[in-house]
Amino acid sequence: MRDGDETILRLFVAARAAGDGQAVARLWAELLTLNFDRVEQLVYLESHDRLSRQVQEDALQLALLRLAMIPRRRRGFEGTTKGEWVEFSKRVVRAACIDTQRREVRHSERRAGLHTTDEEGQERLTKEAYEAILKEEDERDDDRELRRELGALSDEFFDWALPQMSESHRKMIECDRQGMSTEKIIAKLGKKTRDAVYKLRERAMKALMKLREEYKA
Amino acid sequence: MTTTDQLLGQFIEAWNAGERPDVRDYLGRASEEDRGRLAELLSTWLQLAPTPQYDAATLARITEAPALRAALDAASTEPVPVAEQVLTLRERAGLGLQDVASRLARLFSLEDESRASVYLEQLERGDLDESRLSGRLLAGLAAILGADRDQLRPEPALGAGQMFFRSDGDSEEWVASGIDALSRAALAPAPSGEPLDELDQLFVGGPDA
Repeated sequence: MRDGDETILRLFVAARAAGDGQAVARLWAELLTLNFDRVEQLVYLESHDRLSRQVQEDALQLALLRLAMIPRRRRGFEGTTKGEWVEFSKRVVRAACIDTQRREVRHSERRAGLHTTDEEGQERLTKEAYEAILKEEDERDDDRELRRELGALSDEFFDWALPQMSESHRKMIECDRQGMSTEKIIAKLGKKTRDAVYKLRERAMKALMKLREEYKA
Repeated sequence: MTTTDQLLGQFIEAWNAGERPDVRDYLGRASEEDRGRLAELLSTWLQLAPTPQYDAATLARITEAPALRAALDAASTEPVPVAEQVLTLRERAGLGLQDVASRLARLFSLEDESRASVYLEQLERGDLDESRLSGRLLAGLAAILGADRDQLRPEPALGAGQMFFRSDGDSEEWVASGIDALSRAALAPAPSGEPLDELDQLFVGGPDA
């Protein structure tokens, strides 16, 4: 089977419906393990332009911790599909990155508060500057929250988007969703080179992202 | 400099092959101008990407990742208050508070169903000292709510010293919640000198009542 976690997710949903807490916990841990790389990479992408590598590890830990706790929360994951699981994880990842960044700003602020002001005008952020950063971050959060709510790549979105794409773009996305190798895609789509597949994929992904913007609107 | 379509394609090939590529390497190979765009493309891909079929050795390495282990270990030891367990199970069973009180009254031949309902409400709010709940009550609730007999039981408060991959504020919250539970238990009034009836025995009489 190509996608082992689909099976685990189905078992998880059944265990959750039956109220089998032990099975829920075990299957959730398996799901998280199989998707560890996805969560890790999403953390790095979400924070690549905002957090240092070391702090990214903090964000990863926080995201994993929150995800690991889900079966023990009253309001946890209520979805049933892989798309919903990924969407849910993305949301947790994003929140963990924001919280980690905020904490770093607060720590920085405290550190700065311990220093004396440099009369020579050496580089040092004032309290006002930190507050401005926090305010800016809050505003960005609101904006991103809205985008997140509307922009997740849910199954519902794919059902809406795929029929609107050109045949070549749709086929490319479908191949990717099935995890097809480049060689198989070359054969299936009648391309001659890997580069041709790469270029088609980038165009298809851009078209998909554009449709996502429309979907949000 | 490699173009974004090539970097994206190479990442996808490595991902599908279960080679565990790191997006940071790929972002580092993109021009500064293209980096943001590549990040968006990679993020989009990761939201639709199938999970690779990892071989046993790779899966073992993933399982041993310190951050993952720390998270799963923490999740398996975090105490869940009985209040939350009861509420969760009741909601999953699709039962109202009154339904449970009614069944509880039948199970233990209690005359005052409305008082049982009040006790249950207090239990779900976390107002009762969990250490004084009787074993009979927990076993009865488990049966009514369709859980295993041992599933519903008070957990010991979490101690300090939980180790994480890197220190994290949540551990402080857990310790604080453990301390909070102990404080509630310490501050809760001891049963009055008046004799406890069967209903009181169940909810505040202690584990052996």
